[in-house]
Amino acid sequence: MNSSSACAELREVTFHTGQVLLFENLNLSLAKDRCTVLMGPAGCGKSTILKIAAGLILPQSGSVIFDQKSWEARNEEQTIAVRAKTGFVFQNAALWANKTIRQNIELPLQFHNPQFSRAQIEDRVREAARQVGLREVWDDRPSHLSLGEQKLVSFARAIVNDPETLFLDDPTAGLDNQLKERLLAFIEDFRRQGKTVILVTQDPSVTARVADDLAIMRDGQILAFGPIHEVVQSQDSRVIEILTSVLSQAATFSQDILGLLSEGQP
Amino acid sequence: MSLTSGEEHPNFLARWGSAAFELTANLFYAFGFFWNVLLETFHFRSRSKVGTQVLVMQILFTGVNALFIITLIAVSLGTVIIFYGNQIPTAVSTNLVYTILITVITRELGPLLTAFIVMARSGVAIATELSSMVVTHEIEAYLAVGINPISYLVVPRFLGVTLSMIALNLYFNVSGLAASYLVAQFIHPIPASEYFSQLMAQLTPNAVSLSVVKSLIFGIVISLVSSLNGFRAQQSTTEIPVIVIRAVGQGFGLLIVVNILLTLAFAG
Repeated sequence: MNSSSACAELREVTFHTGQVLLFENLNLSLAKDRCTVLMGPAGCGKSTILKIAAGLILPQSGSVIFDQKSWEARNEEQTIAVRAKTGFVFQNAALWANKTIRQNIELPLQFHNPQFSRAQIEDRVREAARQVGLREVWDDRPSHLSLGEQKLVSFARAIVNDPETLFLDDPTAGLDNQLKERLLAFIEDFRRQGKTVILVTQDPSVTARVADDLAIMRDGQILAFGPIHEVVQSQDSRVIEILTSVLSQAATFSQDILGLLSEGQP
Repeated sequence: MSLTSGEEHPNFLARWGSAAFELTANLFYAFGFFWNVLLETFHFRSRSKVGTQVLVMQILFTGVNALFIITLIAVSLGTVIIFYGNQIPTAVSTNLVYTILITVITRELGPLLTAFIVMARSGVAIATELSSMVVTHEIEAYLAVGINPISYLVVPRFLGVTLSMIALNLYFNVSGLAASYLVAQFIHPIPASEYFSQLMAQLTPNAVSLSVVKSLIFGIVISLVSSLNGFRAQQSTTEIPVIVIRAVGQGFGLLIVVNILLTLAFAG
């Protein structure tokens, strides 16, 4: 992939925690203006790759280019400017426990737009909550909400600054079908605006619905990566094994991707 | 040399070498952290668009909410000094009791006891809060929205604890010395003018400077030790009590060492 069309690019990235090596010399180029989905068994390093691409954790070696510049090469002001145009939804929601739901959503807005009036902030917060289908729980603390609702708040926090790129770590986990449908519709709409989504999920229905590109991972390695229709037609037994394993874990939701898989069969 | 001791020798050296290496690395890390906090502190007004509220809350928790326990300890210390001071026949007549009051309350125990209380309350709270924020990925969430955790979380706590420490030490002094006067009225009544003029005569610029410098440095030590340890959490909630205990141990140890060093420095 041409690096100018890449949103995030991992070059020769090595990352380990303590004595455990997660990746060694990993290369991955995630395209701009597309939705890239990372799939693989639990613990294969999908979330870590997402955080490395987003510059939240730094690898021990190698470089991570985001928007044509390495995270390490940016000074604090440049990093803040990039953060204003990105949103991140964490696997566990990662809401600030000592703040109310309203404060959780409005803090990024206040931080990046100190000139905003109270009314403007309130409008943007309500709009973000409406887009993700969050009920009005403004003055509750995150611990009073279910994990699904916490995910919605995390989503609202990620989109409140109208970002260009969204990093989503298992965004639909814990959501009922109605809320999941709403979030998927939002992601599709977000994509139609020419924006970038990098998404980690185990849910094949999410992959089938929103993925333009698909990366299949195992043991810290990218086994297959490319447009989704090409990846699901892969003849690599390891890729087939992972896809069927993921499908068997979520058989009831797998019709869409089963369709894609069956298209790939000779 | 026996074979056994010959075998133990390299292990012993390796252990000490490893410990020395780890200690050095930790010291460098701590100094780097301190430097980072200082840099962000200088930029606090310009950069902290949303940190002022955290600062106000920290002063409220560390300073205002600690007034009761500070009053209790200051009053009891003043009472004890006056009570035992009056047991010494010549103490009052030779002004010894005033010297003891200023030495104990202003120069030594006032700042140290205040620091112990602040460490036990705010230091523990900071280490617990920050470490649980690391474990639940809240720190990463701040990074994700562009907020520097040092600027937003540590600097307000650093400023809040340090300013509160100075104010609480001043309050401890006023409470302790005023309480000692009130207790003295029951034991050996003295006119207020005489009592406080004798007291002021002992309250030298050196004693005041030492007290202020101690409270300033104690505040810095408490906030940095508790923040630094809080950020050392990795991924499990079971780490939090271990981190808090370590923070308290390091904090109390450092406070005692710094207290001795400052007392010696101001004695010359």
